Amino acid sequence: MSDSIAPRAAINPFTSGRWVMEAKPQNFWGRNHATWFYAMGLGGALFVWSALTGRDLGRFLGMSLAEILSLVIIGIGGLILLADLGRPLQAWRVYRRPKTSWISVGFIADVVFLASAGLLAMAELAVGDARPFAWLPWAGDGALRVLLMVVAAAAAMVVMAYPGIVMASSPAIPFWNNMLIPAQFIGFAFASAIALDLGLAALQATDLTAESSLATAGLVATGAAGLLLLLHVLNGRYGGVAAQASFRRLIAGDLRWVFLGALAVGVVAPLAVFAWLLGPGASGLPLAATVIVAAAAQVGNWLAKYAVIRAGVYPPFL
Amino acid sequence: MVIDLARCVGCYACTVACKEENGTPAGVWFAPVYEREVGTFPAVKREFLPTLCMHCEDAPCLKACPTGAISKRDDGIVLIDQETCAGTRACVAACPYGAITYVPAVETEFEAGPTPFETATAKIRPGTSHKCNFGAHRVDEGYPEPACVQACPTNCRVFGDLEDPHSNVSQLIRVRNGKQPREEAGTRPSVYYLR
Repeated sequence: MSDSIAPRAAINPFTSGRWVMEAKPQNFWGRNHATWFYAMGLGGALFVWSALTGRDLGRFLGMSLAEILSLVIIGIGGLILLADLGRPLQAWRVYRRPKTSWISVGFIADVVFLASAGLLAMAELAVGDARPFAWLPWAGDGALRVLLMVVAAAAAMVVMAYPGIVMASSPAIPFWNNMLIPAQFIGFAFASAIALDLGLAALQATDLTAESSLATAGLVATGAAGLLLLLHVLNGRYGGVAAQASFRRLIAGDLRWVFLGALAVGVVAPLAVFAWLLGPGASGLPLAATVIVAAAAQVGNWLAKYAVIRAGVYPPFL
Repeated sequence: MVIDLARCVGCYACTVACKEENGTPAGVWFAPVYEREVGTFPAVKREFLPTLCMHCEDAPCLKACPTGAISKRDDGIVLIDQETCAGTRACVAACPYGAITYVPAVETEFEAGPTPFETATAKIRPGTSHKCNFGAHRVDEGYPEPACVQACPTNCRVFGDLEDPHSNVSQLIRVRNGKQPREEAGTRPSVYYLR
C-alpha cells in the first residue's frame, strides 16, 4: 500500500471505477507521523527518565547529555511535523484550540519543554573552563532550578503522551479510538530511552553488570510496551468491521512484517538483552550486541508506531 | 438535509453539480455516491448511497482542528477556512464519515493542463483540507438549496430547516423514521437517511 497522499489515486467514478461501500484504510498519516510520534516519545522519556532517576548519561560541553538529546530529538520531531504540514507558515496558529484539540495541547507542551529544558541546559554550558551562563539565577541547585526541572518534566510527560491521545480521540477510526495507544506509546518511549541509556553506558565502557536497576527498568518498560501493543492489536479482533480489518492487516495482511518486525526488534531482542544483564552471564555480553540491541529498540519503537498508524481503517459509511 | 435512498438512481448528477459549483480539482469530490451490490443471482440489485459532509451538531473535525480553521455558523453549517488551515489533517483523522479531503497539490483532470473552466473555478488552496459547505455561498445569496439538491432529478435530496418542526425535512424524518449515519460516533449529523 502506498504511503503517499495523492488525489490522483482517488477514484474518479466516470473513468476509473466506482466508490464502493466498504471499510477503507486511512492514507493521510504514515511515515512522517510515525517519525514525529517516535521523536516526541523518545525525547520526552529521556528527559523524564534522567530527571526521575538522576542518571547521568554523560556530558556535552558541560551540559547534561540527556537534556541535550531530549531537546535535539523533540526539536527534530517538531521540524518533521512542520515539514509534514500542508502550509508550514500557518503552524503558529496550532496553539489555538487547547480545550478540544490534543495537537494544540501538544504544541504548547513542546514549546514549554523546549524553553524550560533549554534554559536548564544553557545554565550548565561550559566552554573549556569558562561557564558563560553561570550567573543565571537557576544555575545552581536552588529552588528556581527545581521549578524549571518540574515544569520541563511535566511538559515532557505531555509531549510523550499527546501523539497517542491525538489518535485515541479520533471517533472515526475504531482501531485508533483506544486508550491503549497512548499507554503503549508511553511504554515504548521509556523502553527506547532505557535502551539508549544502556547503549550509551556500554559505549562509555561502564560495567554493565553493575546496572541491574537499569536492566530491571528496561525489562519492565519493554515488557509493558509489548504487552500493551499485543492487547491493543488483539482487541481489534473483537471490534466491528473496521477494527477487524485493522487486526487482519497487522496479523496476516500487508502490515504483518512491519508488526512482526516491531515485536522482534522492539520487544523480544531488548527483553533478551535486559534479561541477560540480570542473569549470571551478564559480564559476557558483547559490547556490539548491546549497542545493536539499543539501536534495534529504536527501530522497533518506530515500526510499532508505523504499524498502528497505517492499520487505521474507516468503517463503511452505512 | 434528508436523503431518500429509495429514490436514488445513481445518476451522479449531485456529484457533478457539486464539482462544477465548487470548482474542485482532480480527485476531489465533496458529494460522492457510493455503490453496493446486494443479494445473490438472480435476485441482485445495486444500492446507491449519496454522501456529503454531515455538518454534525457536535462536529469532531471542529474539535480536532488545532488552528481554529473550522467553524460552525449559526445556521449549523460547518466550514473550513482555507486561509487559517495549516494542513495538519487532524480533521481528516477525526471525521467518521470520510467527508474531508486533504489536497496536497491542485491537479488537473487533463494531461494537457488545466482547462479554462478549471482555471476559472479553481478555489482550492493546496496544502489544506476541504469538504462540502452545504452550499453556504448559495444560501447566503438567497438560493433555496445547494447545487447537489437542485440537480437531483428524483428529489432524493431534500434541503430544509431541521429546527423548524413544520419544515419538509422535519416532517420527512418524523414520518419516514429518518436515521443519522453512524449514530454510535455521537456526532449528531444534520443529514438524515430514509430507506
